[in-house]
Amino acid sequence: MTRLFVIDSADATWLLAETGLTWGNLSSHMTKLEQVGYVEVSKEFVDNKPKTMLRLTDDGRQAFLDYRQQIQDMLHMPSDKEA
Amino acid sequence: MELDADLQEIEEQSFRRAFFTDGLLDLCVGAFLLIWAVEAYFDQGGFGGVSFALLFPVYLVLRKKITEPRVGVVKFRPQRKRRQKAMGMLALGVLALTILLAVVLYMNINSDGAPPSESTRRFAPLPLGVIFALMLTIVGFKYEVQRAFAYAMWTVVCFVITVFVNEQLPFDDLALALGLSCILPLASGQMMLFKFLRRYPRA
Repeated sequence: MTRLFVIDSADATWLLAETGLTWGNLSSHMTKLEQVGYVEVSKEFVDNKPKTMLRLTDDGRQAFLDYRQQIQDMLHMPSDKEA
Repeated sequence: MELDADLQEIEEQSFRRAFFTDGLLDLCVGAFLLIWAVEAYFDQGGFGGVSFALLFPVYLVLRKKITEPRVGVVKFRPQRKRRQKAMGMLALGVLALTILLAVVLYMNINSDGAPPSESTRRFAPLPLGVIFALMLTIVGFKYEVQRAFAYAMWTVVCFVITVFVNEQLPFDDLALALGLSCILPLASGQMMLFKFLRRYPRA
């Protein structure tokens, strides 16, 4: 999601190269994210070849920001000893 | 929406990987310098502008044929597109300034009909080398591409070498300066392209 957050959209080949995931692994991640409405999958033709473009939706972006905030809060939370 | 520093860094890394790891840009710049050197050798240095105009379209075609089938297609956010446009405008501005300087220099040298003085003739290509180096340094700073600094330094060295040997040359000294300058980007671009093709074989 981080990779998709920092760009506008990309095809699956780019995401594979960036993340180092396998096709199957990436596909299952993307299917789950698409089902919850975080990722939008669209088919485009580039030079007469079909390309599957992936884009983070507004909900996906917000969910990513919330998750990031939660992690940051957790990391900055005072420990029991400090409290 | 502006990105936080860490996300910005990830975006920069993605951009660098998408555009600067295949070596195509280095090869295109090197090829442009080489072609211009050949043109200058045959006293047709004025055609350098035509080669420059072809540089970007050729790069885009190569990218489409070589890079995109291997690492895919990515579209960056509108903010980056705006920044890239600004960089393009800056590069065009530097280019226009270069042409203007060249014209002014040429008119100054030839204004009285007398042959140019020894020192003028000797140092004439140097400003061009400095402007090239400046453009490469801007690219290096902007995109954090370290090798652009090496190219910039190499370009200056080549143009300075030319100043010292140009008296013995039987051809245009610009041809030597450009011919030497193209060696480093061509060699490094070739190595990077080989590495890239090995790492990302065509699916």
